[in-house]
Parts: sequence; structure tokens; C-alpha cells
Amino acid sequence: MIFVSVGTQLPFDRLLAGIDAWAQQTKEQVIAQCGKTSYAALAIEMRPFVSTAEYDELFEQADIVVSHAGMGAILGSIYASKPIVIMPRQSSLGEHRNDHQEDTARRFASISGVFVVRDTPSLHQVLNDLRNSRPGIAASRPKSEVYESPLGKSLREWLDLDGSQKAAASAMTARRANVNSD
Amino acid sequence: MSLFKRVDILLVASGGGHLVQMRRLIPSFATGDVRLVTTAAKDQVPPNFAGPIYHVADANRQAPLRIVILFLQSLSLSLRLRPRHIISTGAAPGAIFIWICRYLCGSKCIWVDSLANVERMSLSGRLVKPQCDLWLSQWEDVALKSGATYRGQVI
Repeated sequence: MIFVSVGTQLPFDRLLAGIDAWAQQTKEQVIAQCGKTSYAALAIEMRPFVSTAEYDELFEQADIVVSHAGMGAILGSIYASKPIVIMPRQSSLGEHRNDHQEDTARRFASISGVFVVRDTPSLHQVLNDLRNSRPGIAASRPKSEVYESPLGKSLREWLDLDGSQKAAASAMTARRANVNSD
Repeated sequence: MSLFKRVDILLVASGGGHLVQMRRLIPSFATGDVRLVTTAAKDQVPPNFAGPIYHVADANRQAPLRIVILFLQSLSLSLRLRPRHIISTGAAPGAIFIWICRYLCGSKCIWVDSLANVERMSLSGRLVKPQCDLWLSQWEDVALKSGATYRGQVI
């Protein structure tokens, strides 16, 4: 199931139309939190507003999240290890009052599992790739309850609770002292 | 509970995103006496964390009066546990523990600002900067702007 989230501020019909077209072609199940809009969908389930509980439920069920560049959806996807396809709202198209979403999208774009698209063809391309799980595209990140995160590793080394770094450093000093005295 | 044995690492995290990010750090601290303090409800705590978990009051800008209860709980826990190190992913409870433990028992303190803070360091974080041995942002440009250190992200 693909869950689409456009937020509750302004309509985002460009995204809805884009994913609707894709759903018509692929017959995939798509549920969209669509906000207040006059867009008439053909192949996606439209829900203008969802409660927090419903949102969490839909998020939980989704295989892929498609969203405007809202922090809630982005962070939620990262935390839940779900791939997210972000289409930033553009102020020039009246989708947002500034281009803050473009900045947000760029910032998170390099994180594994986050994809940024700016038009309908790219949206379709990424969705198809995720669906087909083509090699080279990381649809999800490893279960991070088990794997050590980069920051965790850095902190563990900084704390150096078992003194292994000090031991290595003094061994290095001893070797240098031996070399100098030869 | 021995009066002389100090806890090695105390992890402090509010619920929601703060705790989710702390869960990403937990695999790095598998050895020693590591304990967790959180405001999250019992059904939200990490199922794979083997150490003791303590629940404290959730005080934030929406519920400021609970700060008094939180402070008393933090003081009580700090006196009992006397952690050598504190690592917090925020928010207010983390700042309170850092502040108390720094002065009470000279704990080494690490602050990890939330991944969600993409513009500037959080208020809680800024309040305890002087008490921290390591004061971290998870975004390089925020670190540069605010004088924080960057050592990577939890993801």
C-alpha cells in the first residue's frame, strides 16, 4: 500500500494528479491524506482529513510513503525505516508561501531511503524502481535496533569505556620510544 | 543498592522522536551498567534494552508545572545512580539530569540535539551547553552556526 500525505495547509493537486496517474497504470493500492481539495481522483482513495490514530495506522501499513516535504512524514519514515518519496511544494506554483520545502528536501535527500522528485515523470520512475526493488536503490535501511549508527559508533569511541584507545595510544608511544632509542 | 557503585552510562530521552533516536544509539552501549530514563509510557520503551528503565514526569513547554515533579524525581535518581556519563537526546528531562549530575557527581555529559532541529540548536540544548563535555548537532551547518560539534547522525 502506498500512503500519500500532503499536509493540512494548502492543496497539493500536482502531487495527487501525479500519483493518481501512476495508480491508474499500475493498479497499486494508494490511500491519500489529501486535505481540502477539488481534485477528482480516478484511482486513489482520497481522505481529506485523518485523525492522529488513523495517520499512524496508515503510516504503519504503508510499504512506501509519498509526501510533501513535511518534517513529520520525513522523520516518521526515517524512524520507521520506510522508503519515502518527497515532492517539495513550490512557491512559484502557489503550493506553498516560500521555498522552505525545497531546502528541507535537499537536506534529507542524501539519507538512505529518502528520494526527492520534482515532477511527475521522476515520481513515476522512483515508484516503479521501488516497486521492482531494482538493485542500487535502497528501499529500506537495515534494522537499526541491531546495527550501530554512525553517531553511536563515534560516541562509543569518544567514551572509550574499556580504555582500548588509551592502550593503543600508549603502545604507539612505546613503539616510537623504542625506535628513537635505537 | 550499593552506595559506592556508580552507574556507567545514564541515557535520558523524552518520548516520541527523542526516544526513537536514543534507540538508534542503544546498540553502541552494550557493555557496562547502562540505564535508561524516559518520560515515555511503558508501552513505548525499547523492547531490546536490557538495562533498568526509569519513568519520569513529562514536563515541557505545554506542561511547565510538572517541572517541579520532574526536578525532584531527577534529583532522587541522580543521588542513587550517580552516573559517570550521561547521554541525552533531549529534551527538558535530559537538560535537567545533565545540570544536576554535573554538579552533584561530576558526570561527563553528552548532548545530542534532535535530527528534527535543522535550523538551530534546541532551547534545552542551549541551556546546558556550559555543562556539556560534548555538545552535538546532527547537522553540520547547524553545528557550525551554533558552536556545536558534529559527529554524525543516528541514521
